Amino acid sequence: MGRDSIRLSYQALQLLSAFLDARSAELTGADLIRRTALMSGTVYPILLRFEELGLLRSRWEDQEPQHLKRPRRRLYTLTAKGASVARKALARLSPPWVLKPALGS
Amino acid sequence: MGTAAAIGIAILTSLVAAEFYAWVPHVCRRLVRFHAARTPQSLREQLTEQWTADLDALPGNIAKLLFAADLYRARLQITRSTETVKWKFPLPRVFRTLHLISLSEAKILVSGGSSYAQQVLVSVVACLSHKALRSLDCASLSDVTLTGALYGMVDAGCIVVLHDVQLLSSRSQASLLRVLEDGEVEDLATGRRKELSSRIVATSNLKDLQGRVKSGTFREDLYYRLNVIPIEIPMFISTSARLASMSGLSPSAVGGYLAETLWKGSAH
Repeated sequence: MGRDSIRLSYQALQLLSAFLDARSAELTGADLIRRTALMSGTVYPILLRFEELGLLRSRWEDQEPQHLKRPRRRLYTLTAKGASVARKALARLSPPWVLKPALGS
Repeated sequence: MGTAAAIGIAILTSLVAAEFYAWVPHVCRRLVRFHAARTPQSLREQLTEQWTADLDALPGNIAKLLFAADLYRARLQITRSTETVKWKFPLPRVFRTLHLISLSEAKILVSGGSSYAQQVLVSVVACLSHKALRSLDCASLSDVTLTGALYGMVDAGCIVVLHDVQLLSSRSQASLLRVLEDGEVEDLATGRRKELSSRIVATSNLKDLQGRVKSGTFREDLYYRLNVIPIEIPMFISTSARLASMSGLSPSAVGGYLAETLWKGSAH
């Protein structure tokens, strides 16, 4: 295993697949939980790890919480590196093992 | 009677259910804040806001409850992945060993590590054996002053630490060896002798003092007199990933320079 290789679990692949399905849309943690049916205890550590590895990029919503009247959401998008890693990893899986989001959008 | 009881139970159940549903959002928010507050400080603020926003975005109370309950697992994983110093050995075992060492009176030779680490280790031994610490810096000792300094220091209730023992001159090495073999210290000024009742601990910043013995700059017989219980402290060597986790910054924020540089200092 090379030094730069990234170990991807089944759940991590599910998240990457959800990002690819969303195309360039920005997703929140709640969106990912709905789309993949994964639990919060799985989603957030993976999001933090992917961001550290440069596979994801995140930002806060532009508007202030006072305007939104709720806490700001953290929005995640796939980076070019993340998209490439996701496509390569998912391409290795041939049908019938292609991952599909469990709950749809 | 039976109908009235059934109606009563139904009303009570619906009241309990309504109460439960009314409390769920509040309990979930408390759980989110509880778990977020136990994550590493650098992430705490972000995760509190992010988790609260995501909790609000989930539909239904059951989903909210599951979300908040499972944050326990998220918190554990996040905390584990950003742990600060990964010890090379389990600390409880180190302390158990030091406790055993403190029960004996045998001489100790501490080598390697930083002088700070050596000082901490010797302080722990002194603390565990309820003895006072007296230090003697071998770098600043002349041949004459070694026995005089030792004479003033030895006492049954203390540990005498000979710092940087490898810096002793050959004459001082011979004097120290004689003191250790005789078990007595002589005050050269008055000619009076005193029993060597203190425990002797020698420290050396060299990882391999035996190398000095082989090269002939340190006496072999003195080395074996001091090296009754050898303790070697490993050097703290780290890359930017570990430094970053200690400082609370992301490894990328530490920068390319540190990413390629080994840190040969100690953890403090």
